[in-house]
Amino acid sequence: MRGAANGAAFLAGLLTGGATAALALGRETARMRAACLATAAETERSRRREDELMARMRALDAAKTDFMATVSHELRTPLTSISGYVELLRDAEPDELSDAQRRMLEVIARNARRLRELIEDILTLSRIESGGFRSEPGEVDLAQVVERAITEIGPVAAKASVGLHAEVRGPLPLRGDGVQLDRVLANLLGNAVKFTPAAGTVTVRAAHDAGEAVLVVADTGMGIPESEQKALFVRFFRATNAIRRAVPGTGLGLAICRKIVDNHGGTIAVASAENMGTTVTVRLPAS
Amino acid sequence: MTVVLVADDDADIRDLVAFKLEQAGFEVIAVEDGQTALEQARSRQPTLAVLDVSMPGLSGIDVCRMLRADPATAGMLIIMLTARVQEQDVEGGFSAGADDYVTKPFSPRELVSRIQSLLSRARA
Repeated sequence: MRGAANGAAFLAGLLTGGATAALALGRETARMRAACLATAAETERSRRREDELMARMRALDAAKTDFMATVSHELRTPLTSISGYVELLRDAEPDELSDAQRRMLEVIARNARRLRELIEDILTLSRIESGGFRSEPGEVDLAQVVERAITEIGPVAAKASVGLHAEVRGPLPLRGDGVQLDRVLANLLGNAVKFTPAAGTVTVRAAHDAGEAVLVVADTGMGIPESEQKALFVRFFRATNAIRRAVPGTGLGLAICRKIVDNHGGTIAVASAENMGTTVTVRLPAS
Repeated sequence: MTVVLVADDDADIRDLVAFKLEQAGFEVIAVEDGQTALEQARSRQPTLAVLDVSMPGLSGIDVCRMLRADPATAGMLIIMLTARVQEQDVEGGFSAGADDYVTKPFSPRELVSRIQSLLSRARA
């Protein structure tokens, strides 16, 4: 490269006429070569700085994930005792506890469960944020992911007297992480059933559209107040009507969904009207 | 009476499991570390061992591997208890030779039913 450039400069010198000009050009070339070498050294230095920065970021990320795993481990141990002993108490003979005491134990059990879900969701979010894909992304059929999630949520919906309708046009092949996509479906269907009163319905549609796999989860539930909709994907955010009606939740489910969908190069959008229902639409690039 | 060995360094959890298992009609040997678990497993020959993964000294996974390596205890049924849920931890437990894996927090009722199903599968 440099040889060719020198040659070209020498030739240009001869063409513009005179040995003086060629000589001046030769000096200029030497100066430029020195400058080039200096630039190369500078590039090398900045590349090395970048590498160091990347390595430090990776180390920080690993430390954070490690810390979260440790915290979650440390929290699980006392939680095991709390929920375990509460279970023993609640299994006591009918005449051993008063109704008031049973109600109190129910509150402790419910809150221990909530703490457990929080720990799991925080750990999941931390893992997705630092690692992106934990398992190797591979070929996933979204239609199968949806079918699995519907089978899972079926008994919950039946128990809550919520009608569950599915319209899946598969196969919907895409490149992704099956475990993480299972999580997205579980969170979305779980929310839809949880926030829909008895006799309401949840409809799941999945189909191909313009090079994308499109998933729609629509419910006829309590909906989200319009002023709060933009905060839906903020972690720990919970809609005021959900809190008022004491619907349990961690406020992390949609944050997790969004992060996973982002990691897959897709989009997630929510349309909702209070007391009418909510529709979540996920679009993922098809393979 | 079926003898079950319970090893966990957390006293509250050890008592919880021991209480529930005794209530379910098992004879329980409760120990607080891996080394004692190994000794008790060898001398008392329990039918089943419930081992916490993270114990000081010998971990539950170490104990599991050593029990499997010794012909005298190789056939013992082993359930691992762990507060870690990462996939590699579960795989680690199974590759050490555990028959089942229960993550904390667990329901004592569910632990008993897992033990009973392992026992009935072993008898069949």
